[in-house]
Amino acid sequence: MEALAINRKESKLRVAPEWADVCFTCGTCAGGCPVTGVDGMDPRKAVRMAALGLDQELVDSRFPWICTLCGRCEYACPQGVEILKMMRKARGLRERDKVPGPIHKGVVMDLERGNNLGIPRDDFLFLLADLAKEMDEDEGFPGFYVPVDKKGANILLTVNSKEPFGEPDDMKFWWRIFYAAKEDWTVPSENWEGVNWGLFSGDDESMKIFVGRIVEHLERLECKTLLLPE
Amino acid sequence: MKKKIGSTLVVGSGISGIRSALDMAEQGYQVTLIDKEPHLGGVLTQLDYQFPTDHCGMCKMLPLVERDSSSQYCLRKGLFHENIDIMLSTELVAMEGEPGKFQVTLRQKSSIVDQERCIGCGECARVCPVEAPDPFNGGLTDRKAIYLPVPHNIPNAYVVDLDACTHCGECEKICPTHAIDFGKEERKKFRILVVDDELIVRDSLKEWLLDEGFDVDMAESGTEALEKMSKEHFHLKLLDIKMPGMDGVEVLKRAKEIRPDLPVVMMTAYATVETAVEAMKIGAHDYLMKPFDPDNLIPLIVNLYHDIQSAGVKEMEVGSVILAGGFDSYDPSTGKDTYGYGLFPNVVTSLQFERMVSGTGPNQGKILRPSDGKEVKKIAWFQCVGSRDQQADADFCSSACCMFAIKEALLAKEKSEGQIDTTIFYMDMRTFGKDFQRYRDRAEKESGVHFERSRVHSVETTGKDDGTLRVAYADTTGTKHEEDFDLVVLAAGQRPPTGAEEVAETCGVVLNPWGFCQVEGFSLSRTSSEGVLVGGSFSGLRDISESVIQASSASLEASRLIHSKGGGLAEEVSPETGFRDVSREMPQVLAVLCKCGGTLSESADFDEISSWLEAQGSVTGVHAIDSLCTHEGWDELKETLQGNSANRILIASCMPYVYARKLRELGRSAELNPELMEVVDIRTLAFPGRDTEKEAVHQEVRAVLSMGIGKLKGMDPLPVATSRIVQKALVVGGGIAGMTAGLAIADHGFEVTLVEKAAELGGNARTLHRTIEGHSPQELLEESISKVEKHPLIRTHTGAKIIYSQGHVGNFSTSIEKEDGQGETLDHGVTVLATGGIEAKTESYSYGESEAILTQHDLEEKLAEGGVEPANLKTVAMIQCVDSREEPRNYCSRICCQSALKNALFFKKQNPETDIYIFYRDMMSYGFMETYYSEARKAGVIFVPYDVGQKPEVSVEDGRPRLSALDPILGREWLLEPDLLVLSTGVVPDAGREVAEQFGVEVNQDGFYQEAESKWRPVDFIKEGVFMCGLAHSPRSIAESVAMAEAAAQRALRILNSDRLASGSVVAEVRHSLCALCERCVAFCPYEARHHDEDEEMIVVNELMCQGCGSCAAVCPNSASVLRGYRDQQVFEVIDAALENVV
Repeated sequence: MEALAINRKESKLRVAPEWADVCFTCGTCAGGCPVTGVDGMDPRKAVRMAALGLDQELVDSRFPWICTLCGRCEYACPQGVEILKMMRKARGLRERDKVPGPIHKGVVMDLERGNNLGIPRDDFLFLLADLAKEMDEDEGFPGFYVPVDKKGANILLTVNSKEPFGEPDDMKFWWRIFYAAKEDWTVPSENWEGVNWGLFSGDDESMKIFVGRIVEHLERLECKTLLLPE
Repeated sequence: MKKKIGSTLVVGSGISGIRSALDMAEQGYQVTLIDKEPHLGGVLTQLDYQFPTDHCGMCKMLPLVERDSSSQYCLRKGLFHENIDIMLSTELVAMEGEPGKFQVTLRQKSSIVDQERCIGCGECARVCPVEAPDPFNGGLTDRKAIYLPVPHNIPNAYVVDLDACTHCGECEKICPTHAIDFGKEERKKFRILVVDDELIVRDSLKEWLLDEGFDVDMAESGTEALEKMSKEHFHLKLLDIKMPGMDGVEVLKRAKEIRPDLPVVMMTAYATVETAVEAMKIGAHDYLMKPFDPDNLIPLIVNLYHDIQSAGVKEMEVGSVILAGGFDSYDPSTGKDTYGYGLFPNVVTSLQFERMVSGTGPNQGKILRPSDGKEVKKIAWFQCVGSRDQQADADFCSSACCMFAIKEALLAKEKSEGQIDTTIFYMDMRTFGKDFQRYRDRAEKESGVHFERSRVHSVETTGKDDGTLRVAYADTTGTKHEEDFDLVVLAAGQRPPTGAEEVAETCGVVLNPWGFCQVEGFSLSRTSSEGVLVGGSFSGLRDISESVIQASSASLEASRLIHSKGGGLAEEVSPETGFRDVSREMPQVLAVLCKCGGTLSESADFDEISSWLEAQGSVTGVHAIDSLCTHEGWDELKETLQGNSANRILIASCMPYVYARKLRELGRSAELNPELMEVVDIRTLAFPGRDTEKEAVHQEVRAVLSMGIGKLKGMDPLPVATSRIVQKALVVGGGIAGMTAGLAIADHGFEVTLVEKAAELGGNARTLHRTIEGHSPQELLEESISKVEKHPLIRTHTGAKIIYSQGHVGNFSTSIEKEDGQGETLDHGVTVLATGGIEAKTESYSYGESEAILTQHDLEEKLAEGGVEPANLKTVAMIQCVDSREEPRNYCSRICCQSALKNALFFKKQNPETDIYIFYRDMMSYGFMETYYSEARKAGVIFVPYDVGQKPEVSVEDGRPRLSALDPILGREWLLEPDLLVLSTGVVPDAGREVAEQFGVEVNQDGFYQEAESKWRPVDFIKEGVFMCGLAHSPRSIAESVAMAEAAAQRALRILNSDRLASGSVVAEVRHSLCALCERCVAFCPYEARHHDEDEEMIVVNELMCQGCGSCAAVCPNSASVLRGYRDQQVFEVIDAALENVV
């Protein structure tokens, strides 16, 4: 058994006592966590590691990535430990090329091409026009079209790139509602991604950029309401 | 008995309120004991079983000396004491004046039912159509709107819950003794002024109110209303807000000028509710919402009427006020409620569970699931619900719940003969009190209670909707388990009592951040307002023994204050109880029959009973009285007794308990010892409605009458003995506890001799430099020593020791050897043993092998000398529970966790860079100490729990300690090389065993003094007249020692107070000619009231210590030991009488 070697002074996970230090080690979090035991997941261990300044061990572990950030632990924690913030921070401290799964790749793609799956502008616009035509002509929504970059619309709608990529018809759910409600809405032609993977990968910088894009759309198009279906 | 001038108000009649009231009353003060509830006893009325005996035992608080001045039956059923006035449903509403001379105003709510007339027959509840949840059973059952607040009270009278009552009047009609009065007659005199601009509102209100019997007048505008008010007298005004011209608020303002005391109720439509609330700030009594529905409105107005009219207001002067308002429980349905309290019927609070196991509970003590009544097989207890929870705004521990849970688990085991599976989920099992740890260990090892260190996240159902609850939890290794339970019991934490803020404002006392009463410095009972003391859980939840100690500390302080203001100094001698000497007269019985206002004549013929009585031998007169419970009836009895030659009185009426107090008074006026009076209950027998023939009723009545006569004939007419008291005290031990006790006694005007074996006073406090709260023990020490040295009534012998002591309560004689080797013999009436404790020595964890390994005490001294430089410390480790909480020293020393926290916080403050580790088993930061535990974690102190089976290991290399231990959370090892390793070794008694032997008192297996009863008599020894306090009783903090010393002084004062004390009238005697000196009675006497006097060759009974239990008489093989009032011949005669009249 390897002895504990702690370095609390250098820790980036002990930002405030509420991030870990105040922990009782009572186990409320571990008992309530829906993924406790999955690949050895134990939120109490994660908090303990943070409290002891075992940053690198926690960052290198799978704990921050098995955690779904659902917040059940924090909801009931008697000491109000801010487990979610701590977990996200731990994700953020992982080297980017070691972020599991496609989420960091999605972030890079989004930064470069405006959406997580890299769908080109023209393909996207063609798809919208095509789907709108189906609704207009075959599905009983005469006169329907997708208003793109419409200035002064009430609602700005973002899109989950998974839909245009794999389930294009799913986009129609919202459109039908808008049609029936005679809603004034619009979709941006670029940077329309509504799924901010920076949130999940702990990448605050990129997350900020993605949020900034949406804010920019709202200002530019003078929309009053933001609808993030994700 | 001499009567002291001075009186006290005790607010709250739970355990601590009763303790304080009895303390003051036993000292001779007049006490007014109030409670906002309609019953005595507080939460204890609901609790049948107490740790560690798993019985009640509250009666052990009753007076042991001068015991005839108080009731001698179950305290949960009721209480009377000559010097205590009890006022129920009463609140303290105003207080003015200064310490020693407060003017207080009490407000008593009407209970609608005349408590003296009510005979508890229950007819009213039978016809009452309203059902409301019964708070007595924690809402698990329903009760009627007219109900018994506690089912087992004596006497037990019904009260009306005005909030639930619909005023249908059915109960009033059926009550056989006309005890219920909703005040319909009185209502005719109650004038209501209705002010509204709308005719229809005025008219309909008038009609409804007239129907209810009120006197109503109307005004259509503010001007008219004010005019009427200036001319006529009204009791209530109903005032519309929105009126043309002058609006309601304006009228209210002006009305307040004309008649400030007239209650005004605003009438408002929804739109003007805010105005109505504003109006209440200006002084409106309440507001009513339009539109009106007579079914809702009338009860509201009737309630207002009762509120305004029937509430009795009493003003009085008292020397001091003791607040004993208790606590409220956290409601687990508030907050996030992840346990589903209020949602799942099988999730209950610990108080509800307590009701479930009670014989007076919802299922007569059977533990059944509330959801479906099925037998419970598996129960989980969750600790810390609404305690130790920042999200519930509770950064405190509720102190009592851990032991409560263990007790409940054991009760469940006992009730089910071990069949119920019990698990307690906890964070730290806080077994910090005396003998708590062994109780816990027994529960675990002998009874199979399972303890799981885990806080449960939430409760869910099994999905089958059958009431079973699914509990998911993670064990210490992080493994998740799912387990199904029939019942989940939540240890709901403490909250301040309702009305705490109002009481605090009225009395000018400061509350702590959580709303509990703040106590001052080293006192547990002094508040921020002089003359206002606090007892019990109002200053934070505590267990029974702590409450009892604190309550006595409060009464001591109250008494000291009254005394210092001159009140207690002036003594007036109450007229001597000049009872007639009837010892040479033949028994002459006067029989008094109460006809119970005529109710009994239907089932019994009083003339016939009278003639039968007259024919009985010894009966010299028979007198029938219409209603003995009324003033007229009682006066008639007194008159009858004037000049009557009868020397025994037999009263045939109802409930004998009720008369005990009145008989004392009657004895005084008739100059006849009340022991020669007997009350028998004929009302139960002759009450109408029994399906029994008249002759059969007569037969039963004759039986109880002749039993009464038999008992009276055999009563010993000799007056009760009194013993002379040496009004001086001996205090052994000159630490803080001993000095505090000595000062407390001496401040009441009695001589005290203080004997200390060391060369200087001060004891442990000499080496303590600060407390965790930041108080200075040195200041307390200097102040105490200076007071002791200057006190004219205290003689101090330092460097002295006890040689020998003998005697008994009131008359002890103790020889001491003084510093100069001279002997001296002291006579004293009471003894206080405060011989203290010391830090335990240890050889564990390489102690002694390195200078870096210290005990907490060593550290404290080194810090004071400047021998440790915090700035140079890189790593400090502390180990808790060294040699403690395991055999042979299987107890928690209670103060080590706070010492560790205190020192850790000190280091962190001096040098935040120091890494501090505390290795612990259960952090015992009970009560508000919890905040320091939180603070320490916030400051970065690392806490590592360890199991007793896997302790940290320490070795020394090159003079440096190396520590290895398991971190159970991570399952990995710590390897530390601390600059300091501090061991919490705990406390052992100092001289307990030898001193105990010298004074003939007991110690427990750990050498601490053995109290008479751990909960109810925590500072008494079994041997009356000897008391204990401080560390010699058990480990405790300075403030706790001070409180205990005050409590011990309080107990001593009730004996010192008089130069003579009377024994009870029922005491044992020895017929020496029959006695074989076998000493069986000596061994059996539970009060150590007997000894074998070898010089006189006889068994001697100390009449003050004898409590008249009769054990001696039962074990005596020769019938040499007898009990006054229960002699064989007398008892046989009673039995004969009972049998003779049975067909």
